[in-house]
Amino acid sequence: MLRTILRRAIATGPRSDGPWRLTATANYSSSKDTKSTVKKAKKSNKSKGEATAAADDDAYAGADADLFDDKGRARRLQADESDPSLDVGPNGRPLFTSTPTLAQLTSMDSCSYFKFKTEELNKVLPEGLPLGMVREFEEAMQSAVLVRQSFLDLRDNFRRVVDPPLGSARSKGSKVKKQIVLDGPVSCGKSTALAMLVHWAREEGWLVLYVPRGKDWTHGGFFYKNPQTGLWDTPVQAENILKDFLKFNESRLKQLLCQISDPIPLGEGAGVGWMKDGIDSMAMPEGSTLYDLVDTGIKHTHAAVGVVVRLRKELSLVKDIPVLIAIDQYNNWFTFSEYEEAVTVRSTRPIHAKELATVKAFRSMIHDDMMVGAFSHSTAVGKLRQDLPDVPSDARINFPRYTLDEAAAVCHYYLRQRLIRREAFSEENCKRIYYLSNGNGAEMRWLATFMREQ
Amino acid sequence: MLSRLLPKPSHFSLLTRISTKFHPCPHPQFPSPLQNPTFTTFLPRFFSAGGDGNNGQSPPDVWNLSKETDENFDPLFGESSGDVSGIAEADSWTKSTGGDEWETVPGFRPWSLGGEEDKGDDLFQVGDGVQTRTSVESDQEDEGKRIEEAKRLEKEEKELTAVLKGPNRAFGDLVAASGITDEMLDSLIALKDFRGIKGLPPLHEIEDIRYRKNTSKSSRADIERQKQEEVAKARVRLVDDKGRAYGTGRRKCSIARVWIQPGDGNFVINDKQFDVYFPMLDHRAAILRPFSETKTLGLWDINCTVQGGGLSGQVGAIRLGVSRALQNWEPDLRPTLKASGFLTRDSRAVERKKPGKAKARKSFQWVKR
Repeated sequence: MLRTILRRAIATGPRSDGPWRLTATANYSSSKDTKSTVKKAKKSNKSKGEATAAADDDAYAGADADLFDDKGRARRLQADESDPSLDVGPNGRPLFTSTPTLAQLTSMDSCSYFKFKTEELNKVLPEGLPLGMVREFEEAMQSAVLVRQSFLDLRDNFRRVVDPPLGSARSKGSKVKKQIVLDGPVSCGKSTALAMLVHWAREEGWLVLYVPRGKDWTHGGFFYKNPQTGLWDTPVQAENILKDFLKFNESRLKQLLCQISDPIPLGEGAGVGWMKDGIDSMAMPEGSTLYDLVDTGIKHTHAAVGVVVRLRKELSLVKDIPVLIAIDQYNNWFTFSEYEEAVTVRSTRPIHAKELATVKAFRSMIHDDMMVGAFSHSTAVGKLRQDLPDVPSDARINFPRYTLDEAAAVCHYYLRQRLIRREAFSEENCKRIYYLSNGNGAEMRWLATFMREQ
Repeated sequence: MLSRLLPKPSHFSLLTRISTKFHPCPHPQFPSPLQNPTFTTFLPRFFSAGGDGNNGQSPPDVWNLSKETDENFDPLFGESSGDVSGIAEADSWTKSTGGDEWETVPGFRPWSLGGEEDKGDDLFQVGDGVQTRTSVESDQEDEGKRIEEAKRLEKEEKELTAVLKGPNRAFGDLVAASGITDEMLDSLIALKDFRGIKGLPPLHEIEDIRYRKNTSKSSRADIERQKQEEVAKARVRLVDDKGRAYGTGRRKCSIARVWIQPGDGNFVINDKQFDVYFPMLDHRAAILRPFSETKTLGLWDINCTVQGGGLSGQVGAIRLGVSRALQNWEPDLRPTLKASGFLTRDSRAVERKKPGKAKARKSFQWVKR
């Protein structure tokens, strides 16, 4: 929305009293510009609808059209690609790392950007990217993420789980955690870090169940009560889960055998009711692979939920390759779902997420498998308890915000991506952006567009 | 004999002097604590005829006291034996302490101090001494005795005053309890003798100087300069013992307390991160303005508490508090802050509602008829 306002402001032309020296309308600003006054003044500009002298129209239209004219900007970025001298980060360090894979990143590479190729990214993460990442790529017009020390620590933790370093394990400072919950303030990079972790794990060859939106499990589709288990089945959502799982891991699943041979309990199908003739379980043939199991769940909607529950058990029994369960928007699983149960004719009772069969199967962290959950502020969950049920007490870590160095790298990156005008850029402004947003990633991105020379 | 009892002016003056010397109580009638419990009623008694034993006792006591200060009463002692008997009676009377039958001052506590008994005895050995003089003796002996008595009386007076000043119940207790010592009393300037002090010019000189100072018209420039010097001297860095500078800020019912110390750039308000407490960017920008103006953006660790008012009011209060704390830390920043206007306490507050108007200024809806 802001962009449309800005575009309109540009269309009406800047005021005649100089470039961007818009008068203050907010109480707290002085005659000098601040980001807030710019925002307010632009709004008032639009509402007043001034048409001022068009003398300096063209000049400013040219320079600032970058911000608002995506095509023009894309064109200029295209031209920039050939110029490597622009890729300079804070203190003259290179802005982009040259390491080819996430696995080879070291702490030397922190505070620099890692470029992804879009197709490759979509291939490795076919379930979808987290919203924050998508927005970032859109704004910067490039698929590059900042390498942060916090991500490297996360990755190293799981590396150590899989290959414990010989002998020097005791000397390592922090304990290796198999289950982690990423908590932290708004826009501090939790979902992005989780996505990068999944990317790295899949490159390493692990079997990863990635859930980019945990909210999908508790919202949407049909829900039926299963009298045998006493839980609520969500066949449509279960089917989606299985399909997502299959997207990347198909070939891998074909190599793994099922280890539990109990028949799968059947539930109510999506919109079709129970199976005829009272059949309530389906047997899996001997020697079927996990792929067959998942396929059965997709094909037979009655079996979807049962397959999901069975899959969870199977995943803990996989010994050949490391298994990682990565769930974003994990905090949605600790509150109520959108489903309700009719208690009387007139009133309903909201169903908690733990009463759903799918969620119940996957939510617990009290096990020996590797699991990462990331909280999200994008969903209206609110504040959760300090000690979550089924979560080990040391699993919850506070994901740190951006530091000053990381913020400087971010500003340089935006400069490179033509989000900030070159004349307006300065270290002082970078610092100001950082302190104003207090390390909030999305806000820094938004503020960067308003950077002015002072 | 009655003429003795008649009041002489000198008696009164002596009595008053004696009474002040013996630390009169706050009690309006001046009871002399030690010797005469009925000293309060002394004066009226003094007039009555020496009929009852009470009255008979008091005059000799009085004369005992006055004996120390004024030798004029010697002939009184050398008088007839009736006097002596009176003294003997006085002696017997004063020996019986306790004094239940005496009409005492309301609030009088019969005090029994061991030393006092002795002193009383000592004192009334004078009486004894007098008592033993049954026969009229020669003047010379009298003289000698009188001198001795005088000396003894002086000595006893000193001891008594020491006793008095020690466990003085009425006024002296308060004095002692409050810790005021004799040295302190001596040092009271008002009682000092200002004649021999070095460097103190004589009074007329002091008066001259004063006069000149009062009447001379110091030029405007001088006054201004003096004022500026004072102000400049007051610009001292104020840092508390934990190395933090403090500032208070107020705006429109909000009060903020701000502590700053050099550090990383953490900003904690009421134990929350400051972007959690002020989600709006405008507020945060306003609070950080003093830092950006003085170019000290990330150098401080700020801790502040704020209460009262609404969000904007709290923002204003914190900003003022921050500016004041900055100025306390580094007085050189004051001109910059002053120029930007961050050091002014915004005195705008909610205007009161007036009668005849709906709100402070808004009038009621106008009705034509």
